[in-house]
Amino acid sequence: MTDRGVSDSDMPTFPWQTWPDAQALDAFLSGNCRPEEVPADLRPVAEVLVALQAPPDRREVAGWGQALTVYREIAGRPGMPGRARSRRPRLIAPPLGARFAAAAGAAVIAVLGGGAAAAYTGSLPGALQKIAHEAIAAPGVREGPAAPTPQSSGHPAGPSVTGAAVKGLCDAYLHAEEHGNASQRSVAFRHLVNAAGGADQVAAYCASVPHPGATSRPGRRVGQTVSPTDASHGRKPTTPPGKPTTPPGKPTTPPGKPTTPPGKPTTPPGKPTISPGNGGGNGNGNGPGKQS
Amino acid sequence: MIGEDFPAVLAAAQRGDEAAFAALWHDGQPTLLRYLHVLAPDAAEDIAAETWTHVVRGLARFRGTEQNWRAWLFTTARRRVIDQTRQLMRRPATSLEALPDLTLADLQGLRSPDAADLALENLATRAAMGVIASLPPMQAEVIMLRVVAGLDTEAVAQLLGRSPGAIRIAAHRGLHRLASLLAEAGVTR
Repeated sequence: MTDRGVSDSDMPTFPWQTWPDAQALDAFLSGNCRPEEVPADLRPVAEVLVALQAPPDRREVAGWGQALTVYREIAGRPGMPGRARSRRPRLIAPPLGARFAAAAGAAVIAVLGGGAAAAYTGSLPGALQKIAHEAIAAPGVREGPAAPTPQSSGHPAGPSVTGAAVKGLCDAYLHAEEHGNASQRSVAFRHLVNAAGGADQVAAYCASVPHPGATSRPGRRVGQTVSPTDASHGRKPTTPPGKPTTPPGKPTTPPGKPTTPPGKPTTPPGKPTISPGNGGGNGNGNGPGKQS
Repeated sequence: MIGEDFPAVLAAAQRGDEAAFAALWHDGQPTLLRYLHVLAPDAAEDIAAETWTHVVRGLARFRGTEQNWRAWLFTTARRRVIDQTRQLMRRPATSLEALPDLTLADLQGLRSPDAADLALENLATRAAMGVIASLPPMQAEVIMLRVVAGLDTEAVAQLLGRSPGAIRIAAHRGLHRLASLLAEAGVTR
């Protein structure tokens, strides 16, 4: 493919020297990029792509009640095989994994959804903080001409954080890198950047931690082959490694009821506070069935 | 993405399992809304609801992988957008085969300049969507389908009725343009 027919306005001149090749861009678009791993010139772009994949906002799932009503109505008709033969849909129980995945997925989504509100606190990635300020007039965003990062309203965390705290941040980041989704990585990285005093300080910052495992792990680079799991665009609701012993609990969210209180601060990556549900769950599935 | 559990979740949802349908919906709806807010910000919620109604009706007959599922979901949504655009433009309906030839440029009637009016609490996501919506329409749609919908180049090509090469070029130009916009906004570090 050539670039013939491209208007001048479509091909502006670019101020950076490190534009990645086509293969790397493909990985970029697949969600397999982390802002800290791309050339500095491209970090704002990477941050935008990560933000596009942020966990669901509770307002984005506000239509669940309506959707469930439609599902019950249509799934209860004779057109739906299985459902038509019996009003008790789980006479043949679905695989346990499916039920667990569904409930765990919903729980993780609910937990992560609450974290979105933390974006108000002024700890957005640098590029987006700036855009948010200009495009949306975000509250609490102040411009400081001499500030190295636009997070002038943030917390005074800086390189003075040492020892176990440093290791904790680096470990949190590595953990999110290994097990988290894109947003969890983003959150972990944000904390790390805040503590390190800038994105370009992170490597040195983590390197200062005595624990060898914190820095010697090879990171995945843009363009590198990724496993199918990694290629899941970082949105898979990841089960935390500590495997919650939580029973699935109620399989469905009550229509329209927000599962997370607004303004709840971000849950630290890897520590979803899944509530224990109602203990025994509703495992036999004799739920509401068909809507009256 | 639901991942390796997808076949079991899909099968359960097809049997009428509400929890399984909840998993499908909660996985798909936020990404669908973000996509629709870039295409048709004024009608995103309505079109998303119509999309799910259509999808639920066809759910029992659906066969395929998770990629196929997402492609179906977004294809359905896109057709709803196009239908709505046609209604607004009062153009005579044409055959379905002609649909892929429509580009986002044809959908401009539904497009408002500010997709950031999506009432998200997440400012970063709102800001990001606002920037994407300011890209040329084809570039914006390709980036949303690749990054947000999680579709690969081939799936996007099929969905838009373009060659994979054309999709790659649109995506790369979109990223270039995005970088330029951000650089102009002074956010390079």
